[in-house]
Amino acid sequence: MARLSAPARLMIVSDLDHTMVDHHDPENLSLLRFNALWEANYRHDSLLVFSTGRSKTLYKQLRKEKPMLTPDITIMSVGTEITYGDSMVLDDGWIEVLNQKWDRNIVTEETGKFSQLTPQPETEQRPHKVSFFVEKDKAQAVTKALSEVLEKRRLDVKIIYSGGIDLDILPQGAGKGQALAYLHKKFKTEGKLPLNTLVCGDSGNDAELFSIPDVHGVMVSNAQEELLQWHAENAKDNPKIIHATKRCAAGIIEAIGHFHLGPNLSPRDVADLLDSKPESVSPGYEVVKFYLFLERWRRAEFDNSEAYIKSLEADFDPSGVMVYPNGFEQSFSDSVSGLRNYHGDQQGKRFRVWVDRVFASQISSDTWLVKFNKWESYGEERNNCVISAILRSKGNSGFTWIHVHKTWVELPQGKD
Amino acid sequence: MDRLNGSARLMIVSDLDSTMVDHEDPEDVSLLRFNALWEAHYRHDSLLVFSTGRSPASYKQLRKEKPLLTPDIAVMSVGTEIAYGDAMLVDAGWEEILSRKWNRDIVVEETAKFPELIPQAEIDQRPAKVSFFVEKVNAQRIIDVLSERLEKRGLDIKIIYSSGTALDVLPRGAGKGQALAYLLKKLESDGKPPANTLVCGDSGNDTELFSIPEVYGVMVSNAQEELLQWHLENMKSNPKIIHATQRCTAGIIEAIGRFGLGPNVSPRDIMDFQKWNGENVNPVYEVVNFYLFYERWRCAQVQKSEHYLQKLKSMFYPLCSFIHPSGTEWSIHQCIDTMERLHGDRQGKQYKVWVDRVSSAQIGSGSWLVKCNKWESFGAERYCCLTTILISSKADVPNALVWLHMHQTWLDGPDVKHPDTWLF
Repeated sequence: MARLSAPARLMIVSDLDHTMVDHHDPENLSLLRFNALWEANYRHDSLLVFSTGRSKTLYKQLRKEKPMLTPDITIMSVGTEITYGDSMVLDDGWIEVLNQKWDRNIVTEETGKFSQLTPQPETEQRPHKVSFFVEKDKAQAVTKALSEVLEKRRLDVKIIYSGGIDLDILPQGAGKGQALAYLHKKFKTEGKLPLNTLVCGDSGNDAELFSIPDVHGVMVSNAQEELLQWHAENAKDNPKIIHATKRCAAGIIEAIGHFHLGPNLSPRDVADLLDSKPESVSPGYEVVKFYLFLERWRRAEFDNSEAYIKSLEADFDPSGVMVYPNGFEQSFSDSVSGLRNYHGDQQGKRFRVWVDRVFASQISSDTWLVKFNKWESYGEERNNCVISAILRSKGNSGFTWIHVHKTWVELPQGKD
Repeated sequence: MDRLNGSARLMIVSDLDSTMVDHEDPEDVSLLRFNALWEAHYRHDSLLVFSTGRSPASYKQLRKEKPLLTPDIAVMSVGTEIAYGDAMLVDAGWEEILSRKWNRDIVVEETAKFPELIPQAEIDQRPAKVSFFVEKVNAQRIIDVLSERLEKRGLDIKIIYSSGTALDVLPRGAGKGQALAYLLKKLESDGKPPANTLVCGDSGNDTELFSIPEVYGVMVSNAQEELLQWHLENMKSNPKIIHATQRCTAGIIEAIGRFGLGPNVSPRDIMDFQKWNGENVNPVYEVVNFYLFYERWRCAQVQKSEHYLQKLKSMFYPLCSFIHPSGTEWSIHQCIDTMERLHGDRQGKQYKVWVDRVSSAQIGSGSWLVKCNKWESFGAERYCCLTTILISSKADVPNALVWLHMHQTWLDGPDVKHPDTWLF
């Protein structure tokens, strides 16, 4: 949270399943487009928040399956757990709020009396979340009866039905919306309320997000009936909430454009990377652009033309050195030249490269230190290294790479 | 060889066993002193050449046992193999020269006729070197007869007897001295002759080195009789060759001082870290000094004082980040806290820290990228990280440097076992 010294330009609060993550797209094209857009244009001055119904275990599981960025804040278990940063530090203040008029034992006791409620697996049961499966036609009745019973037992709870199957019982103060409101309040007291907030969702448990005052909102094109219904009943006339025409992450990008929240052209949408002149020439953009080029080169998405190698040679200082994660050192001239051998080596395969947590700091008037994580996935296998790079500005025409140093974070399983 | 843009200020050509390396010192005190001196003051503009009788395999073995720096050139197998740089690229031109009027099979055939010649181990037999053990009393006679026979067979060879036991049969053009002459010639034709050359040795196979014209030479205090004898007979009045009063590497440092070849006070000789941020803004010196301090801190050879902790904190930019070789990123606070905890944790454990191949490139006005191999050894274990450090001059304090960023990668790859505590 303390990473930004000024209010965030944009804070995106997005649901994961079927919003940021499209389970029907094994190539994850939109998600990768969003990733490139975020890292190139927003990471340095904006906040990325994931708000998911998943518990920590299932969230981590999803991270292994899908190419997701590292968010600044992760809100899990339907807004009952807030964690910060890469190391996922828990927000204790939020726990205190949730403890008000809540007693998990009473909840389990009372819900045990409803046969229509089937408990979800252990990983989904959390200190401030008791979760069940219940059929659509029975949901409303059970919710009503349960509310009454728990109120009689002096608890202040909220019951959320979502996805046409999930029923979560949370403290009244919990929920995706409440968690966001809590965050907004925290930022406000620090004088760092984000300039704009965009919430993104697809299902019932996201409804609360759209209720927060002053936020922009996008319901992705594939949003569920229950959310669209809620919108029709509660927020129909709110111009700040739209129903996107595109699925999942593509819908989020669409909304950024629609609401003019900032750049919405992902580097992945730019056909000829080496010739592009981005609106703002930044070291972060340069990094995103280069690794995108590498992915496309190895997938042979463009020809093995000398023009590309020549262009790269101009971008990499020949006296610069690449330190590989296995401890091997190579001059840039050799590395760039060696790229010729990699053209198309991943053609026809599910090879993807993306960067995460790209942070640039200026070291002198024209040089920058950029730190980031680089991921490569080969179908099921993936590897991750942390990279320090030094770039020198060429005025308005981009950057020259002077130095690259890599260390493995997650060891490659097999390939290099 | 091409690492330096111009002529080397100094080229040191040193034998290894009992010269650069003291097998009687398990702590390698002098060698580590030399290492720090070399990296801090010479690496950037001078050439380090090891010239050993050992074969490549045997040389590599020695490298695992002793804290040797990475030389610019390794001359092995008594001057019959020349290899350049970290990658040890073989000099094919030298191989070709040595192949003239040389036939290994003939040598093996003729030498087999002498029962007094006991073949050395396989590891020490090389394409241009056939090696034996022979007792001193038989040596001269055998050398004379063997030379005649091999000449009759049409070969042009030389026989070197060393350390009172080792006998090497080599092509005439080979030998430590010949190899050095070849290197000097090469450097000269590139327009880069070294300003000064210092040869260092202790035994018979080093005599040739001292014969090269114009070189400075030091016979370490523990030099063998055969070398001192040769010196007496051949070089007695050459003021450029001395017999040091100190053993092994200490003798080399002594010679640098005696001949005024450059700085001869090793950072390891300076105990007072008060002078840390010295008068000269020198990022390389800063790095060498820091790791020296680090070693002494973990051995509790410096006090755990508030003064030092403050100095440490002021050395790093507050937002300095350290990318640990495990792939995790540490804030400088985490580093300093850990540093505090590690005071004295290696006391009494033969713990040594040294840096190798330190290079510095200026990447902006007032900022440098320093790269080095950083080694730690304790007992039989040793570890190395390829380390890059971004250093900048402090805006408000003249002549002071601040560390902005550090990044390390295990040199031997991530799969090998690594120590539990690793910092910097």
